[in-house]
Parts: sequence; C-alpha cells; structure tokens
Amino acid sequence: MTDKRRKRMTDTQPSFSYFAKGHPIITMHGREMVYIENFHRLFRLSATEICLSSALGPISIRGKSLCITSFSPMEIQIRGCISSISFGGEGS
Amino acid sequence: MSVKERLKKYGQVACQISGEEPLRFLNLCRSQNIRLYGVQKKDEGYICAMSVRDFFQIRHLRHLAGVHIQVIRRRGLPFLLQKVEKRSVFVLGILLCGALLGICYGFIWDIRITGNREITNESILRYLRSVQISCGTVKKAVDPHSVAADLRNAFPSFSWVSVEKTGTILQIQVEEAKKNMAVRETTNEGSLYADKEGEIVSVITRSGVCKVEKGEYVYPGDLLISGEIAVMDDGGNVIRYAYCEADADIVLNTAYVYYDRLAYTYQKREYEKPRLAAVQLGIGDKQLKIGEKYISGEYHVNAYQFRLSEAFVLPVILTVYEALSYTENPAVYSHEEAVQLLQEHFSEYYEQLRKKVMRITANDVKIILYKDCAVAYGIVYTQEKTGSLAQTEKSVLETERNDS
Repeated sequence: MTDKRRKRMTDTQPSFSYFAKGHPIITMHGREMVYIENFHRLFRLSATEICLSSALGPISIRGKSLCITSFSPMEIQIRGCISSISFGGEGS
Repeated sequence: MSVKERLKKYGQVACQISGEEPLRFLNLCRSQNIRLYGVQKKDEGYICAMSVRDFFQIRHLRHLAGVHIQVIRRRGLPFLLQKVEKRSVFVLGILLCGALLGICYGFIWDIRITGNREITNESILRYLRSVQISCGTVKKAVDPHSVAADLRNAFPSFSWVSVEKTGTILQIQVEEAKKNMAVRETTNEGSLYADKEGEIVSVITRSGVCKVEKGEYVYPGDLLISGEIAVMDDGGNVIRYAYCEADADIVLNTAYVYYDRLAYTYQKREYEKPRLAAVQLGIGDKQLKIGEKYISGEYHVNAYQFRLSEAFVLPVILTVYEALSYTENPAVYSHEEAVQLLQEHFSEYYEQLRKKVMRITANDVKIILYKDCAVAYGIVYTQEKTGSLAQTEKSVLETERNDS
C-alpha cells in the first residue's frame, strides 16, 4: 500500500483496531477496482470469481473479467467489472 | 549491488504457471515478499508477471508447489541491453551520433540575410565576423537584440533590422531606407536633378521652385526643381535665399533603343551525358575533395547542405562537380527559328523594362531578315519618373559679393 493511501485511510479511520484484530480492510474504487488488505490467502481465481480467506472467513469477489493487478503480502488489488463482494460461502 | 543486479529491478518477466497447485504457488510467492502483477486465469493455468530479481527467487517455491513455469514474455532494460550487446558498436554509434547532433545544435551553421539591396551580404557578413559572429559561433553567445542594434549602428542606411535565431540558422532581415530618405536624414535641403533624358509629361511640385515646364526636353544632370527660394523685397530685389528640400513628381517620356542581331550560322553545341568529375565534402572550414583537382571547360556545381529539418542545418556540405563535355558543329537557323529566337529575346527585354519603368507607351521594334542574319531593331517608348535629390548649388547675393 502506498504511503499516500495509508495516510488517507488513517485520516478517515483514526483507529488501527482493524489491523489489530486482523480484520480485512476492503477499499472499493467505483465498481472497477477493489483493494483488500489483511487477508490470509488466495484460494480461488477465475475470470468471474476470486476467493480469499480472512479472519472473518472467506471473502468472495464476483464479477466479469476479473484480474489481480497486484498481489503482494500487504494487499491484493483486483480490477474488473465487480458485481458483488460477499463474506461466507465456501470456506478455506 | 552489481550493475546487473540493479538492472534486474527494471526488467519484468511474464510467465505461465501450470501444474499441481498453482494457487499455492501464488500464495507462497506472497509469503516470500514477491509482488505479482496481472494475475489471471488462462485455459492452461495462470499467468502473472514479476520483476527479474524476484523471478530468480522462485525456484524453490516452484518445487514446493509442484508447478511448471514457462516464461512467455520478457521486457525491460536488462533484456534490451542483452539484445543489443552483440551490436554494442552500433548502439554506441547511435549514441555518439545523438550526442554529436546535440552538440551541433548549440552552434550557428547558417546566416541568412534578406531584404538588403545596396549593402551586400558580404559586407554584412564581414561586419558580423568583426563582432565574432560567423558560422560555427556558439548560439548562446549571440544575442539577437544586441546584434540588431549593432547592425543598425554599423549601417545607418538600415531603417529596420530583425535578427532571429531559428534552430541553427541566424536569420537577419533588413530594410534599407531609400536613397532620398538617406539624404533627408543628413540635410533638410536639396534640389531635384534629372537622372534620365526625355520630354517632360507632367510636373507636380510639392516644395521648391520648378525650373522646367511640360513639353521641355531634359538631359541627365539638368536642374528640375530647385531647393533654393529667393526672398525678395518690395522692389523685387533678392534680399536672401531660403533653402528647402525640393519634392515633386516629374514624369518623362523616354525612349530605349533596342537592337538584337542574330547570325544564321552558328556553332551548335551537342552536350554529352554529364560526367561526375569530383565530389567535395566540407565540414566547417575543412574541405575534402575526391576526384579531379582542376576541372577545365564547362561544368555544373551542385551543393547540398545536410539538414535534419528546415531549421536544423548541419555544417556538412556535399558539393558535386559534373563536367559537361560537348562537341560544336556548324548549324544554320531557319528564318522561322531566327524570328522565334529574336522574339523570345525581345520578350525577355520587354518584361525587364516593364518592371523598371512606370509605363510602356509604344514600341516599333521590327524584325528584319537579311541574307546572312536577322536583326530586331526599334525603339521602345516609355514613361517614367525622374528626379534625384542632391545638394543645392547655392547662389551668392550681389551685395555679399560686393562686401567681400
């Protein structure tokens, strides 16, 4: 995550409780891009669905032409036509 | 860190991952701090991109996940350098060429002068050389404003000077004051004298005393309008002379005699194909000539100055000398050919004269065919303005003469 974005996030969320608890942080930019931090691992990847495991259980991102533009220890950046983000479903 | 290691940062490898557990491989990469880009599912597995440096760290991860990695695309500086390594001299040449062009751009390689009539290009260039401006001068050292001011001071007849640096060209545009204006600047008095021979058609005097009349025949040097005005007392005696600048429009009827003789027999030249005699390459002041040192007879010279664009002129001039050899055989013009040639000659003369004079009123030029030659002869009647300003010849008063 860039320093600029981190600063922006800390501005909007003054507490670091989310990080402390290990909860995932999901940031959406329109419906074309989503950043997810604090996730455990990637367990499904296709053009229509990307599933990640997190402290709150699995996170499922559904849509069309999904692609991971950046995949690093800190975050995952997903681009595509996102139709839904849901928790639960098939677990890890 | 070596240079190669540093360069690896700038290279990227796109690879296809297939095998037992590709997703595990992706997660392992993540845990090893390896950043992946453009991860997406393809029919035969997954594709992703990573930096070259990271690519060398995934070998053991590949074994752990049991995947097969196939490089599908490489891009970036290290790969480019690898490609051009074999052509290092070529690349070095390109870089040197670029550097040379960059250096060349910092100099003036051409000086273009426009608008001058009386003051020749050579005079202006000589003056510029005296102030350290010539082809090869550093562009930064030339200040257009000061050069324009210097030129105006050095050549007072320039009424307007513009100096501009365009690429590697120094463009100088000048405007020269008319001769009469130059006299006016130095003195406020003068008389108009005839500079042509002819009959006066009309005189419109604006200032001064008219000394000629309509219908009078004048010769060059005759006084037309005097700038000396006699001031008289009540008795009609001249008490003093006042001087002014004579100004008038004087139109003369003038005539030009035209004569052109063309012999029927002549030596017809039959040219052979031009032969490349020599090639000269000039870089700055240095000249390198290949071929014949001295070319005798008739030859064509074609000079080409190398340029990258209209404004970026390079100091390289290629001159090609083409020798023209011919044989002369006696030939005879037919009457029609002779008439046509004489007519062409006269047309050229007529056009030149038309630009020079105010109006051509008539011409009686005729072509006469003799036994051995054809002659075009006649007079072209024109109307043109006359009167050039010169210093007034001052009269001396009788009383002053007596006093002295």
